[in-house]
Amino acid sequence: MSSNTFMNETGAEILKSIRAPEFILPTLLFPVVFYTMFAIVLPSTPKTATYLLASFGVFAAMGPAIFGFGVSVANERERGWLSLKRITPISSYTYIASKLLATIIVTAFSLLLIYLIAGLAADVSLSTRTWYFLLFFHLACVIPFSFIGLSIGFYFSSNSAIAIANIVFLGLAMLGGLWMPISIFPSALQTFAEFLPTFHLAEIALITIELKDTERLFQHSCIIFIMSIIFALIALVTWSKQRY
Amino acid sequence: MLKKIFMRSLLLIILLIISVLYILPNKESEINKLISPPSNSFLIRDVRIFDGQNFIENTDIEISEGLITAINSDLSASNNINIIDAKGKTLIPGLIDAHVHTYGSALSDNLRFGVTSSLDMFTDVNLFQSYKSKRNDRQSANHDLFSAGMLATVEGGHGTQYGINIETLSAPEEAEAWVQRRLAEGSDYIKLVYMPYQDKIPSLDKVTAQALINAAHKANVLAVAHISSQQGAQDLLDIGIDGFVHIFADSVAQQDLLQQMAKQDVFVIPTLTVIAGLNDKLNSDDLLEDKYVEPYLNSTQKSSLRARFDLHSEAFDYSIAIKNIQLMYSAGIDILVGTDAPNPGTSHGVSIHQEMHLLKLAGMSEADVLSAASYLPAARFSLIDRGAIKPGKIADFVLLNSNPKNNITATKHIDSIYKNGFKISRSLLSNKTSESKLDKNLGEFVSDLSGPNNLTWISSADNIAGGQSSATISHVYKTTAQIDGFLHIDATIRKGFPYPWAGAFLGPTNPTLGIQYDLSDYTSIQFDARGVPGNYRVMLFNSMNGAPPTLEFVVKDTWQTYTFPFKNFNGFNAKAFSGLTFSTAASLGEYSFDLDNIVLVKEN
Repeated sequence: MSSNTFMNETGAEILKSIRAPEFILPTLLFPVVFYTMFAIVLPSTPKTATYLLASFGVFAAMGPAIFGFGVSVANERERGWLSLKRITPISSYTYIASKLLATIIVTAFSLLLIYLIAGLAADVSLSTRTWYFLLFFHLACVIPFSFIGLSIGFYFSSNSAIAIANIVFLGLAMLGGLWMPISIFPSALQTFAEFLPTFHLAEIALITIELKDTERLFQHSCIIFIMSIIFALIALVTWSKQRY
Repeated sequence: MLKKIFMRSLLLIILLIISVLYILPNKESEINKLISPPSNSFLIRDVRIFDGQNFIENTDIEISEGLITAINSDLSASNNINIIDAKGKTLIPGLIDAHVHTYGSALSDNLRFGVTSSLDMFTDVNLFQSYKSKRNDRQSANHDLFSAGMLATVEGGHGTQYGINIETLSAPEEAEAWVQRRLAEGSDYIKLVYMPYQDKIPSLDKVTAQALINAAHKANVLAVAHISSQQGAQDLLDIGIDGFVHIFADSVAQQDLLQQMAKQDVFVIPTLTVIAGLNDKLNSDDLLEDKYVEPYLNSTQKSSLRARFDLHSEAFDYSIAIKNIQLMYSAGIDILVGTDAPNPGTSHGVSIHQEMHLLKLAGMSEADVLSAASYLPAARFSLIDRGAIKPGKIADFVLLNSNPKNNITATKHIDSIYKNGFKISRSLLSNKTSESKLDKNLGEFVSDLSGPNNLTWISSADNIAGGQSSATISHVYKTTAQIDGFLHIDATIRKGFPYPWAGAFLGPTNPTLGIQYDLSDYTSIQFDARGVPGNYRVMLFNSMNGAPPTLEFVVKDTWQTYTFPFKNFNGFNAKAFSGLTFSTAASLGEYSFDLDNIVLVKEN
């Protein structure tokens, strides 16, 4: 994979986001609007705003990853773009990697907007180190979600991909406790959340900003690592079985 | 081209990340703000000053280590000194409330509303002594309390109903030694209760009052008096009283009396707020709904402002009070601002703004009202270091956003408050520092009524706050073997208090000291109770004023275990626990109940 083609490819993805913003913009702004509502409009304290910042950052990373990958791959596949790509000199991995990087860059805009709202309007205050750690972690969340998005995109037709992506997106967000702490859920749902990547990612984010004890950090990290590998494998399988 | 787009967007996002994370609030800068020592040296520029008597437009004022060092236009700032631009703002002296009864969080409540000194007219002597020692510390931001300490009255007379220990007088011969004992305790002046012309409660007689005043004057301290009638005022004038701590309002002041007051230079502290309250003419909503006031009121202040007297005193007619203020004002008699807080309808600090407003409505000019809350009380009580914004005075002042020159309500539009040159935090949270942890066993009652951390269970009823209910408590062994016991309470609820209670209290032996404990290691309180079947209550205190967060429970005649999470006590702050009361419910009657195994527990 030459770095030149990689950069060109990533540039193209970004250009696509800029030229067809109606596709990526909603997934970027949705978390911003939601965070504003939960942390600013509804009664809250700087502490709840900080808590929500951790989980909404994960939420913000999930939207572009699942939709940018899931639905766009399904689209490109159905329109024959992937078949065309296969006969270009660009490797398939370059195609995936550049999409991933473009998604991370675009997600960063959304995250920065949420951080600005949190810091300036909701009085969230973290040490500079923690701000960087948190941003790095939130951006890294794009990776596991991208694998989920890829699997959807490779497996489903473009029409059903939208529906499936929506269900997965909202389900993971809500049941994983990204909108409200799972401690207020019934205990059965609390147990269920343990099986969702969003729950573990949010927990790690909360540990990063020192709102949760580091006791389970290793456990959450291992679970996320294993889950990411499983999602990557599923993505690989669906990819190899895809119909062009 | 695509490569360029990639490089540029990558560069853009990295720059954005750096700049956004740079402007976001970060904890280091907040910590730096906290550790840089607060300074009480600074300069205020372009400010309008009311110096205690006159307004000075557009001037500068220099404060050095808590003292006002210079007032002049165009003062030059020495190096490293903080400069506050106060264009359009007005600086008035720190307010002095000339009639308070110090209790609970009075000192911090006062400071939060710009009252930097207060003249207490009767409080617990131990409490006063603990505050008096801090009065000369100019390098801290404490409210300064001056007090009469114990008041002079007779057995069963006014002042004895509050449950605070009082040495009553029964003969004029006792007066001199009584005054000497007060001065030895640290009293700054002598207050006596003189209300002979009514038949409800006993009072000092004129001869004893004279002996008290003479003894005070011999010791070079002021003698001031609580009176309830013009006749009483006349008697005390004849024997040389220095001031009245209420205005008399049973009859319109006679010309002769006014002239005599003026001639003898006697001052009056009308306490209009309390008289308005006694006449159902007090509007507390003005304060409770004021956006400049409400955010700084704690819950006990709010309930104290909402409270009302359930008695009416014919001796204090509001319209006569107003009339007498007008007559005294035009006769040139000194009128001082005093609130008589925390009587029902008033609260420390906040009520001074209402009192000033009422005095303005009664006909005093804004400048005279401001003076009556600063310069005059300082002058009359010989507090030579305060009450004015002049070089050499201590830097106690309030910076207002509005000009009070033609609008006295501007005193509520507070920009900032300074005590000894230190800026006061008006935040309600900042003064809730918890002292220490409390042992979880609040009451085992094995062999006595001792509690945790050297605390002791004591009887508690509304008679200590002016009501009529009473309680006695005792330790009772469960069996004749005397191995373990419980707390037994006999309580009688009688009419006479807005929120009656009678039962047992656990807290600091001197509750007014306001020691607070951190209970955040626990979630709930658990106890066993039995007694005369009926409703009972448990109350958790954060401070000692007003109605505390309360839960009711039903007691049966056999032992039951009860567990109540702190979160069910509406408004209770577990980090600042200051006491606990078990009481009967509010309905009148006699009750008895037993308590045992009172513990703090942690539940998940």
